[in-house]
Amino acid sequence: MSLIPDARRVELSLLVFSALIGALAFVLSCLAGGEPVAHATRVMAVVGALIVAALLMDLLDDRRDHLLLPLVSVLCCLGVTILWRLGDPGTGQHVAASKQVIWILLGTALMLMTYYGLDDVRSLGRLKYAAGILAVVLLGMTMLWGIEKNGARLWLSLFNFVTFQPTELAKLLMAVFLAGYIADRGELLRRTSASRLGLPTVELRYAAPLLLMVFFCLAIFVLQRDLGAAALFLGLFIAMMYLATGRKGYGVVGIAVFIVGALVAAAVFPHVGDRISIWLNPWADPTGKGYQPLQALFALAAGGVTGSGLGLGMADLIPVAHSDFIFAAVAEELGLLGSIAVLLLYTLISFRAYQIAWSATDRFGALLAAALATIFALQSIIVIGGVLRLIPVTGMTLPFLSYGGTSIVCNFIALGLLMVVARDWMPAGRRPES
Amino acid sequence: MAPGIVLVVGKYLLIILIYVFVIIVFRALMTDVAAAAPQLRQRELPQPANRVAQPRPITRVAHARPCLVVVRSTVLAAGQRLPLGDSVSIGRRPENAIVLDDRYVSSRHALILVRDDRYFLQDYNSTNGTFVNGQPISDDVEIHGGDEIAVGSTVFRFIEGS
Amino acid sequence: MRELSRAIRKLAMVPLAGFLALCLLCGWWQVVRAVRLQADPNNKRTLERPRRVIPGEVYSSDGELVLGAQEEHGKWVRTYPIAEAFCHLTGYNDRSGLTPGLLDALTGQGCYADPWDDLTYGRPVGCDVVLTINARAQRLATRLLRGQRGAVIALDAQTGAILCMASAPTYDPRNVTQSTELFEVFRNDPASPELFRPIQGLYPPGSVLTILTAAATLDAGIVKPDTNFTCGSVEWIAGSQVRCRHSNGYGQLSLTRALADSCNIAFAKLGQQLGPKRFADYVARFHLLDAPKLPFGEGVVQAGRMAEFVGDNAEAELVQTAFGQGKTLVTPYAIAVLTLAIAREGRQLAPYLIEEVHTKRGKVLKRGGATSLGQAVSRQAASDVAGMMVECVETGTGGRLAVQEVSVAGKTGSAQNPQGVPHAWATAFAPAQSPRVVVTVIVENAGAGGVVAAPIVQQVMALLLNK
Repeated sequence: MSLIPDARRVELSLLVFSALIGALAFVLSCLAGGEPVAHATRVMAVVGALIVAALLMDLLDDRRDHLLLPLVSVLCCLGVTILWRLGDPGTGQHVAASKQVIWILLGTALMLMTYYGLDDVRSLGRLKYAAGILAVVLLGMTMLWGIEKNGARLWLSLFNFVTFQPTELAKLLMAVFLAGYIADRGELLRRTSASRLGLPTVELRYAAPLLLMVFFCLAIFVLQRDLGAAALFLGLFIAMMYLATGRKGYGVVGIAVFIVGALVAAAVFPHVGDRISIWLNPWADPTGKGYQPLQALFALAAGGVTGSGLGLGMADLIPVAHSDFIFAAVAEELGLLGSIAVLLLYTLISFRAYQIAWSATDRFGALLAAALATIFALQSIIVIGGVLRLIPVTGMTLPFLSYGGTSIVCNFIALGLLMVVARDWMPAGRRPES
Repeated sequence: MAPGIVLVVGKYLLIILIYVFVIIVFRALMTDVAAAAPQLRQRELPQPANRVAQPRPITRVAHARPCLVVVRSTVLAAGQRLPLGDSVSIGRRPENAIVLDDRYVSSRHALILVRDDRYFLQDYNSTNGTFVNGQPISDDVEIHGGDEIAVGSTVFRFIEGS
Repeated sequence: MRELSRAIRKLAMVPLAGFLALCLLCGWWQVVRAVRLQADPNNKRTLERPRRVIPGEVYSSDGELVLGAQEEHGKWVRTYPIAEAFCHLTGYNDRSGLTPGLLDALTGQGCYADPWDDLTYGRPVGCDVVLTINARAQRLATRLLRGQRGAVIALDAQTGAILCMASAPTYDPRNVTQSTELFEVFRNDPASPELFRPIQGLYPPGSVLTILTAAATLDAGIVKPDTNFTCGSVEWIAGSQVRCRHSNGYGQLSLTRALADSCNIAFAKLGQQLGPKRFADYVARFHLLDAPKLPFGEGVVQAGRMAEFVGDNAEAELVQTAFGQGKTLVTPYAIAVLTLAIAREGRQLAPYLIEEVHTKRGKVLKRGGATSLGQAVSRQAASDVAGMMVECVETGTGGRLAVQEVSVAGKTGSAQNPQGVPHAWATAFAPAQSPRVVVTVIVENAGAGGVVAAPIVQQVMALLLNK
C-alpha cells in the first residue's frame, strides 16, 4: 500500500540526486577547462554537509520539511560550479569557489543551530522590537562607518577582521519585527483600517511603530542610494500590510510611493538617475555606464536555447559575474533551458516557503514564513530582473547562487527559520506518534 | 581537452537531470498541497443541517456487504473497496486493519466499531483529526451509508450492507 | 488564522507571476533578440571569439600557410609564418588585414558553423581559407619593392583572381604588437607601413590613364588608331597649359604613337573632344572609382576620387584628367582592373581574393569567383588599345616591360605629384593575343615609370608566365 515513501527517504534520495547534478556540472566544467576532475570535491562537500544536516535534524524530530534542503543543494552546487568555472577576477585562481564552500558549510551549521535552538518559533516573536531596533542600528552604522566597495557603501567591518553586508542581516531582523508586530497588533490594524477614496488608511496610533521603522530603513537606503534594498523592504512591508489587513490597496499605494520615491531619488542623486537612464537605454553609453547591463545581455544572447556548455562559453567576460550578474553566466553556459530551470528552482523554493506559511498553525509562524518567502522571492526577482532589463540593475546577491559570505549565511539562517515554522505545521510535529 | 561528444552529451544530460529533479520536487510539493487541501476545504465548508442522517439510495443497491470505498487518496487507489469486519482500525502503522502510509495520518488514527449493525467512528486523538462529512469528530459518532470519512489525505465513503 | 492562510495563498501568486515574467523575458533575450544582440558592435564576444574557438587558418593558392594558429594556455593565438610578404593581408591582430572580413569563416560562425564540430571538439571550429594569392609571386613582388614605397598587383586575366597584391614598406606582424612603444612607432612611421597601397593608396594615375581616354574616344567613334595629332612642346588647351614630355614636341603623330610615346597634348585634346559628361560616363563603365568588393574590414578599401568637372575650370580639369593629372586620384587596384578590361576585349570583371573556404575536414563551403561588371567598351575599341599598348612595349616608353618570347601589351606613366619626384607607374598584360596575367606596379616618388616600375612588372609577369 505504500505509494508515498517516507518523507525522510524522499529527502535523502533527492539530496543524492542533487549531488549527482552538482558532480556532473562540476566535472563538465573541469573537463572543459582541462583541469583534474578531483576538484569536484568542492560540490561533494556542499552536498555532504547538507546530507549530514538532514540526518542530524532527523535525530531530533520525526518529521519536518523535506523539499527545501534538496532544492537549496542544487542551487548551491550550481553556484559553486559557476564560481569555480569563472575563476577569480584578475588572478584566475579558484579562491572564491573554495571560500563559497566554506560559507555554505558555515551557513549549514548556523541553520542547524537555529533549528535546534528555537524550540518554539513564537519565542522569537517576543524579540520583535529588539530585532527591529537592531536592524535600524545596523543600517545606521553602515551609513556612518561603512566601507565602500564597488561604489556603494554596503559593508561593515568587524574589528577590522571580517567585513559583512548588514543589509542581508537586516532583512531577517526586519522579517522578525514585521511578523511579530503584525501577529500582535494585526487584529487592531485590520479593524481600524478603512478605505477612503479608494486608498487604504490605517489608524496612526497602531501603525506608527511599523511605519516609523520601515521609513527609517527606506530613508537609509535612499541616502545610501541602495535602490534594490529599498525596493525589497518596501515590497516586504506592502506584503505584510496586505496580510495584516487583507487590503490590496497597499500594493497600489506602495508601487506609487516607490515610483515617486525613485523619481525623486533620480532627480536628487545623479547615481540613481544614471542607473535609471542606463536601464532605459544602455546603448547610450555602451562602453561606460551601459557596459555592465549590455555585456550581460550579450551573454544571454550567446547562450541561446541550449547554451555553450559549462566552461565552454565566455562567461568570464561578464562584469561582476560572481554576484550581481551570475544569472547571466548560468544563462550563457546552460542556455534558455538552464536559465528557466534555475528560475523554476527559485519558484519552487518560494512556493514551498509560502506553503509552509499558509499551513502554519500559529500567526507569528505563518507571518514569519510569509515574510521570509517574500524576501527570498522578491530578492531573486529583483536581481534576475536587473540582469534581464526588467528593472534597473541593483547591487544585490542572488540567494544561494551568488558569491558572498553574509548572503549565504543569512539565507541559511532563514532556511532554518522556515524549517522551524514547518516543524510546527507538519503533522505530528514534535509529539511522538504512539 | 575531453572529446567534444562527452561535453555535449554531458551538457544535455545535466539539463535533463535538473528538469527531472524539478519535476520530482514539483510533484512532491503538489502532493502536500493536495493533502492539505481536503482538510482546509472541509474545515471551511458550511455545515448542512442533518446531512449525516440522509443516506444515498444508490449506494444501497450496489454492494451486499458494508464497506469503505476510497473516494480520493494519495496512498490508495480511488474506487478501492475495503470490507468492514467487526471493528476496523485506521492508521499509519502496519498493525492497523487499514494502513494509510500518509504523513498526515497518525500511527493509530481512528477506529470503526460495529454494535448491532450500527457503525460508530472513533478518533484516537489523532494530530490532524478525523472528519465526517467535513466536520471534525471529538466523541464517537454513528456513521450512515453515504457518509464521507476523511483521514489525512484519504476520503472514504461508507457503504452500508443491504 | 484561516483568513491569514488564505491571504498568504493569494500573496504567493504575485511572485509566481514575477517568475513567469522572468521566464518569458529569458526567452525574449536568449531566442527572439539573440541574433541582433550577437551582431551588436558593442559585443565583446565578437573580438574574443577567435581566441576561444579552434580558429581557421589561411593558405596561399599554392598551399603555403599564411596565417596560422597555436594554442597557448588554453587560448588560441595567431602565428604569421610568412611574416612580411603577407603582412597587409594577414594584418597584425583580429581587427586588421583580412581577419575582420573573414571572421565568420575563421571562427566557424553563421553559415560556416558545423554542428558536428561540437560533437568532435566540444566547441566551434573555424574554417580554413585559401587565397588566390600566389606565394612565390607575392614574395618576389615584396622583394622587388624592398627599400621603396609602392604596390604590385597581379590578376589572372582569364578568371579575375588576384594573384599578387604586395605593398611596401612592409612590417613584421609579430613585432609591432609586442609593446605599446613599438606599436606607436609603427603607427607613426612617416612611410606608413600599415597602408595597404594596392587598395588604400590614392595616386594621380599619370599617363596610364590615357588607356582609358584612348579606349573611350575610340569607343565613342571620335578617333581611329591612325588619326593624326599635332604636338608642340607646350600648348594651351581650354585655358590650361599642357606640356609634353618631349621638350621639342613630337610634331605630327598618330594616336598609336601618342599612346606609345605618352604624348600628353594628344590626350588633352581627346579629353576636350569627349566632353565631361561622356568622360565621366566611361570612368563609371570602367568602374575606375569603385571601392573593390574584397573581404577587408570596414574602412580599409578605398574608392578613387574624381576631379569634379564643374564651374569655370570644368574644361581645364577635364583636360588635365584626360592624361592622368589634375585632381583625379586612383588606387593601383583600379588601374589593374582597367588593364584587365582591355585585356579581356572590354569585358570588365570584379577580381576576387578568396579561392575557397573549407572545413578542417576538407568540405568546401564556399568557392570564390569574379563577378562580371559588363562590357566597358566595344571589343574593337579594346583590341585597338591593346594593339597600341603592344606598340608601346615594342617601340615606345614601355621597352623594359618586354618578356622573352612573349608579346606584352603595356603602358607606363610618370605621375606628377606635390611630393616631388614623379610616381612611377607601369601596367601590362601578356601574352597580348590571349592574355593570362595582368600586372600593375606603382613606386612612389621614384621617377619615370618606364625605368623604375616597368622592370618590376616584367619580373612578376615572367614568374607568373613561368618564363
